[in-house]
Formats: sequence, C-alpha cells, structure tokens
Amino acid sequence: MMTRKEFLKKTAIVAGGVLIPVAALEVLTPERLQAIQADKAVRWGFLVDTQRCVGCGFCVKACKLENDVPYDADASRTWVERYVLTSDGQFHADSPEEGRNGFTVGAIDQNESGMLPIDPKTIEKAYFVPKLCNQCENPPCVQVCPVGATFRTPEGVVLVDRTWCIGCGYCIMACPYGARFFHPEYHTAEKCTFCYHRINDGLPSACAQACPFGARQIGDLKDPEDPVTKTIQNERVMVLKSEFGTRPQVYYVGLDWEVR
Amino acid sequence: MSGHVWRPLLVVLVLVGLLFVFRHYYVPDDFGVHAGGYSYGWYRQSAIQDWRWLPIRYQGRQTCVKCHADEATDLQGMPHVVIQCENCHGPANKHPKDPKKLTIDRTRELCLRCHAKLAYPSSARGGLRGIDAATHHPGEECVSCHNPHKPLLPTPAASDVNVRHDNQYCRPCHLDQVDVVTGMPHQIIYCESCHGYAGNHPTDPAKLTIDKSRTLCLTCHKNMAEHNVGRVCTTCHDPHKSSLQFLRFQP
Repeated sequence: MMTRKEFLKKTAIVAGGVLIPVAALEVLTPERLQAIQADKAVRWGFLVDTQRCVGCGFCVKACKLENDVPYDADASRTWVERYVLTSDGQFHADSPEEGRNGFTVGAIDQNESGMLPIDPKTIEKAYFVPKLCNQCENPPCVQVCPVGATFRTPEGVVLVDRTWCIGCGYCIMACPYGARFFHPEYHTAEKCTFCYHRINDGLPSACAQACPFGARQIGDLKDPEDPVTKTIQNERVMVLKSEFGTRPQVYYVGLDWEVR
Repeated sequence: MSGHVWRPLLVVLVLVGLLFVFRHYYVPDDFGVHAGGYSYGWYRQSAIQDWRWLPIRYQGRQTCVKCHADEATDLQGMPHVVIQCENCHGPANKHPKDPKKLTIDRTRELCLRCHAKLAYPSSARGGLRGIDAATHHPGEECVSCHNPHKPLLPTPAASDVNVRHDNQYCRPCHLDQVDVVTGMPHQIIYCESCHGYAGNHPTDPAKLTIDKSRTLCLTCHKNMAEHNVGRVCTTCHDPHKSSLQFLRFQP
C-alpha cells in the first residue's frame, strides 16, 4: 500500500525525469512555424517529354561529369530507360549503364541473362523514359532519415547533408523510385539535386542543358509564365507512382502504363 | 526511498546530463527546424550552402560562342545546332584558363548515340537518320567523312545537273576510292571530271558513266600522245594511284 507522501514523491520524480528531456526540445509556437514555412518565391519543377527523348544519353553523361559521380561506377543520379513492346505482347525494359552511352543497339540488355535480340518488325511500340529524383512534396526518404541528414529546401529540392549522413541506407530503401544510391567515394546517400548549384545561378540543370531535343526541362512552378509551368497546367501530364502519395514534382508527357 | 534506487537513478541522470552537454557542443548551431517543419525541415541550415557552392562544369553554348563564333555560324541552320557544344567537346569547366584545351570525343560511339538506326515507331528516335553500325564502314570514325558542324551533305538543285560537287561529297559512300586518291597527284581532280556529274546520284542518275577514253587523259598528259597509240590508258594505269604504283601490273 502506498502512502500519500510516497505517491507524491514518485510522481514528482517521474514528472521531473520526463520534463528534463522535454525542456531540451525546441518548442515551436504557431507563429514561428508559420514564419519558417513562409512561401519561397521559387518552387523547382521538372518536365520530361518522353515523346522527344531519343535515348542519346547525353543527359546521363553530363550529369555524371557535372556532379562528380564516378563515371564508370554502376550508379547515377539520373538514367534513361527503354521500353519495347513486341507483337507477342511481351514488354521489355532496360537501361544499360544507366543509358550513359546512349542506346546504340536494338537488343535488350537483360543483365546477366545477356542480350535479347529484338526483330524490328515485331516492335509495336518503343520509347525512352528519362528518370531522375522526383523531388517529392512529401519525400518518404526525408521522413525515414534518423539523423536529419536529408531535407527539403524551401525551393522544394531534396538534398543530402554529406557531413551529417551516417550511411544507414534507410532513405535508399524508402524511395519508391530508386532514385537514391550510395556515393562510392563519399560513402553517403547520393541523389539528384536538380543541379542545385546551377539552378540558383540561373542555369538549367546539366541534364536539361545537355538534352538536344528539349525532352528535359526545369522550371519554376510558381511562375505562371514559365514554359514548364504552362505545359504542366495546360497539357496532359502524369507523375510516377502517384498512388504512393509522394506528390512528385517531376511531370511526364507521354507516359505509358508500363512505365514504373 | 532507499539508496539502491537513488544511486542508479543518479547515474542515469548524470548520463542524460552528459548527453545534453555532448549534444550542445557536437550539434551545429544552425541544426534545427527550418522550412518544411519537423517532417521535412529538420536539418543543418548551412548544408544548403554546401550544395550551392559547387563548381559549374558545363557552361553552355552561350559561353562557347562568345569566342568560337565561326563554329556557331557553321552550325546555323544545321540539324546539329540543337546539340550543346560540350556534349562532344567535353565540359568546359574554366576553359580557356583551365583546361587550356578541351578533349573532343571523336569516337564513332558518340555519333551512334543518336545515329544508330533504331526504328522505333512511337519515339522521336525512329525519325532520326540512322545507320546500321555493323555494315556502315565499321571501324571508321564518322568525322573522317562527315563534318559534325555541317552534317548535311550539299545537295545540288535538281534542275542544274552541272553543279560540280566537292570530292568530299562522294566520300561517305565511296570511301575506298576517295581515300586511295588522297595524297596522289590526281587528288586535285574532281571525281566528276572522269566519272561524270553526280547530279542527285544515287537517286538520279542511279549510275554514273565513267569516261575511260584516251582523249580524257591526254587533256593533261599531252606528251603521252605517242605512247602506245590506240590503247586505253586505264588498261595499264590506275588513275586513282597514278603516282607510285602507276601501273596496274608491275612488269
């Protein structure tokens, strides 16, 4: 049986023990929260027109060289996929070396299973789909980071803090698009930054600049006069895996149901 | 409360306290909640600047044409005008300071990125001019025949069949012959001087008529008028290799 005195003592200890760590946390007032979430003038968005892509892979080459991603490593911030539907109803997809050297042969790269020759006469449809980080409005990769090493900037770009990343790999697993990987040299999580150093200097991202056909465009979604914004508002566009609720900010023209 | 409760509790409290001291010194001052709130904005603010200050490697065409205006003029109206200079010439970085010279990718593989024929009906790739790399002069560098800045071959007006073509016009298809004559005295002669005007060959005419007559050779080689009178010169002489091995068959 606990006495009244003992009960009060124990309550005080427990409450005190709980309060110490709580006091160490930052408590945000609604005003402060609103202030730090204040609208930035820019929201970067990306438009991929798959109709225009010819699979030359200049975007992947430019990205790797611009961003110091080891050129021969089997990892890339952006990549180009090829989809081929043949008349027997079979769907083939590949991305040899992430499309770095372009698509120069008709055969499909099946990795260890070798190359699958495709008879051009049997092709019903075939097209290329460039992929990159979707810079989601609700990035699951950021949510899972246990140390706060990845975050969404006020302009909507998801970045990685290389000095803070512990390399646990949660974010790589959490990304539904497979857009993250380990940087072979820094040993931290690596991803597309929309060429953050370029777009803030008024240049397009390296991939968008390298694309000869305008299949990749980057723009400010908050500027109604931006050609990218206009296309997204006025044309039929799609995002990848909308069912995940991630709200991607990379929009696609001419996407097909097979593209994942 | 007895000592066996207080002692471990004290140890725990001290550890928690040490943790906060460590945290205070270890965590940067600008680490905290920023734009995006707790869900997406829990980070070190200066990490943004880390990304901001990376060097720009690909400078873009606008930078190149400031000095290389001639090349820009060459490309005007050409299909390759849409291709960034640095796609083939490599990233400029701080050129002309560093690097002083760019390394041009002249490989066949570079051109094949677009010009390997892939007849894809539902992609822009299907509409690009393409070759079968296995049969179209395998092993040759594309740039030995095609000028990447002026990729379109000159096409004469159909009405005027007497417009003379540069020998390089013939080279893409007649590589062997044009290369053989290069370095020989006859390299200064137009292919069409002997082979006839190409017009819109191979469409029209499908085949050219070669002038093998003695008269044609004697136009220049006048002192040979008495040499083996009545014979056709090309019986013994190879006009493409006229210099060193001027005889088809060594006696």
